[in-house]
Amino acid sequence: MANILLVEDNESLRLAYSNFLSQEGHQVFTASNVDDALAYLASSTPNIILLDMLLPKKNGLDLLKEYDVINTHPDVKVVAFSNYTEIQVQTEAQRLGASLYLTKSLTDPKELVDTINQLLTKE
Amino acid sequence: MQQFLMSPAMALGLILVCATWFIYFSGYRYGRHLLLIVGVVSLLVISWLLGIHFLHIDMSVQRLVAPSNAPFFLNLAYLFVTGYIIQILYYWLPRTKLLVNICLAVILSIALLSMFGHVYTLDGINQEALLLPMPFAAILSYFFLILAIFIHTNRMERFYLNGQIVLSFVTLFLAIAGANVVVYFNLNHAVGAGNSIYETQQLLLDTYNVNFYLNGAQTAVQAYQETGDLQYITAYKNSAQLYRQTIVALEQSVADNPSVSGMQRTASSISELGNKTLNLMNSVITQKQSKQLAPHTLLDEQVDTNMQQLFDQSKTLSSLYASQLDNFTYREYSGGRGIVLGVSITSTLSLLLIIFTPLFIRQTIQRLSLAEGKLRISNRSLAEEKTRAEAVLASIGDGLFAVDIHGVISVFNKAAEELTGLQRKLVLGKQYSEVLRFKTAVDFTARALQNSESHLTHNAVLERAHGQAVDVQISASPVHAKDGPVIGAIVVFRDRSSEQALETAKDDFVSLASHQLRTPATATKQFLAMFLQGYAGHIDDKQRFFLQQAYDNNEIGIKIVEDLLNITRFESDKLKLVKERIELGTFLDQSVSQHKALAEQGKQEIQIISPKKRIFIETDINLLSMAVDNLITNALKYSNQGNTITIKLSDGGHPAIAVHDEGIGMREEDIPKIFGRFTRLEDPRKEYVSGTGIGLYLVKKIVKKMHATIKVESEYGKGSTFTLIFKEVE
Repeated sequence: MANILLVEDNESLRLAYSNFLSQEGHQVFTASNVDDALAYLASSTPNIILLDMLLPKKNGLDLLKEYDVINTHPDVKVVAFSNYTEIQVQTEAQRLGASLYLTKSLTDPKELVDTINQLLTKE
Repeated sequence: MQQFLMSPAMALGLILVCATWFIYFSGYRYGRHLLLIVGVVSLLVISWLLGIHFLHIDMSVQRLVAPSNAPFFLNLAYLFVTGYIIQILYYWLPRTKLLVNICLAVILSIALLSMFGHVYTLDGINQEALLLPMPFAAILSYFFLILAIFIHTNRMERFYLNGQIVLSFVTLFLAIAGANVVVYFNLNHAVGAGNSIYETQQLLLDTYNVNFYLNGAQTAVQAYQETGDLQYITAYKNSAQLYRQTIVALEQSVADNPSVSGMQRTASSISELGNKTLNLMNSVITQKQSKQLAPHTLLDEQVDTNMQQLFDQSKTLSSLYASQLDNFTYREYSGGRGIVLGVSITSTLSLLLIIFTPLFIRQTIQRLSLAEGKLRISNRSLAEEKTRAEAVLASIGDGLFAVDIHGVISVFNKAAEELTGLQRKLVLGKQYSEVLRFKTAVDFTARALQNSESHLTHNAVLERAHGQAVDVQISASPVHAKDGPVIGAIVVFRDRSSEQALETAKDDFVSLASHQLRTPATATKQFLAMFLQGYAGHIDDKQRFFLQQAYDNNEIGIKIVEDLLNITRFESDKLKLVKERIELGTFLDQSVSQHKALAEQGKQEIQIISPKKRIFIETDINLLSMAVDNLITNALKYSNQGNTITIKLSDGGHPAIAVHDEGIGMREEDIPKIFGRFTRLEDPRKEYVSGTGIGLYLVKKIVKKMHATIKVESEYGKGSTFTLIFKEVE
């Protein structure tokens, strides 16, 4: 049971992820862009941020920079989550504090749930 | 006039002219045969003319009369004129009219001069014959003919005609000069002989007159003796007077001809005897007047004796004259023959030359015209070829220039002008490196000239005349001579900007489309998985089966989109090789971890064998992982359940990653096919394996880009090994 912020611009994916994660007992908050996410983060601290890298206007990397995961929120686990598979982006995300990088198209619900559970267990 | 028209010379001349004309118009169709006939006829005519000419003068000389201005010579002149005019007309009429007219006028006047010259010359044998207008006229007209040819023929014809004309001219000149020398000497000879004949005849007459007058004087004296009539005294005195005049003239003539031996002496004795006889006759008359003497006295007897002696002496002189006259006559006759010979040779040569030179010239011109025609045709086809080649070059949309072996520009087409902004006339003949600025790592033109590579294509930046830069694709090829050596290079370049824009648009489209496709496919995957993984409540087996089918097909779709994206990225120039130092052990661990899920599905195991030593390579990590991922995915796909995939890292001289599977393997003949685009081997055993046929094609491209190599070993039914071999990093 964890608080998860899902930042995803695609409505269907948002619906799918929030649905099965909720079914797994997690509290899921959704945001469709970086600004909404930051607005939520200003008042709440989730256990996990499921962050899409490719977002309109500001992207996932921008959020990592602004939210400053490494220095300000080291307890928040960020799962970088994208179809944008370039290694440079993955590396950059991990450098900015992402715990994991998953390719959306290669990850099914079960895998995601397992991954999140593993992250929570580590904690 | 009738005599002129009926003249066989004229008739034959006309036949000759007609035949010549026919030969021209028949275009030498009857060739050599007809020409031969005409030649033989000409020879006959000339021989005949020569014979008549000779005979005519010979007879004139023998009869000691000057040859008459017979119509024969008029005919001869007319023959020349007619033949000449026809030939000249035929040859020169199609050319400049003015010149033809001038030629004709000259020839006509020369012909008239020739006729009158003949008449004048043969009116009597004299030194004016040296003028011989006919041969001179021939030379003069020939000169005009040459002039006409020189004006009207081109350099080539002139070159060929020169030899022939000069030869003919020299021959004619020598013949005429020689003939004139012969005529000159013979004429002097004949004229001298003629004068001698005349003088000898005068001497003979004088000798007879001396006897005649003395006889007259004797008869008068005898009559006076018998009759005593004084009128006989007057008759005697007249005869004596005539005798004295004659004997003075005789003595003078003989004195003028000292060459005749014995004549001087004989004439002197005649004169002495005559004077003695006249003195005796005077004594007889004196005795009669004094009546001292009777008729038939001693004195009479003495007169008779003297007269007899005088007569004998005169006979001697006459016989001397006669022998001299024969000699002179023969000399004049032979001189006359010499003249005839000279004139005849000249006339003959002139005639031959006049008749045949145009024939030869005509032939030469025809031959030359033919050659010129052929040349013109080949020139025209060459020009056409050149025009066509130029048109082809000009029409090429790509810029094109050609350089010789020294790098000097010899061809520069319109597109090149447009692309470079340089004018053709300004670059032709200049070094390409001085005027054309292509920014490339390698000077492809120089390489082509060195023949180091036969055909090179590369992207370059062309700096235009006004400073603007344009992306071009440049391709340089050496130009080889027939026998092999490089004689230049040809360079084609084209503006890539529009092509590039199109390429970018295509890439952008594919990229965008793939991205856009991937998101719904991902969403579909999630929802289908939610069904399959129980997030959507219970489903029965049938439902599960169908949903699994949908899920699997969606997976294929995702894979295709993935591959398309990769290939687009790879084929576009956007993909820049970002080299970094990669430790292969760590890299492989990460790669394998990404495939664990797939391996677990097939209950397969991925095993990594690596040496203790850390192995580094320097390359683009994206490309490397793309290649290794593809190889691992393939190994998993084409292996059976429970198989082990072995990834062996080694450093036997070069760092290498070998991905080995125990799967279905490949037939040897199939191995070369596997790196083709969209290639999938037909294998009934693995029908169910999904794939796009892009994977290994991509791997091959990546390997080339990384300057690595890939080795394939496979045994049908036993498995395959794909080995990536890299350059070592120090």
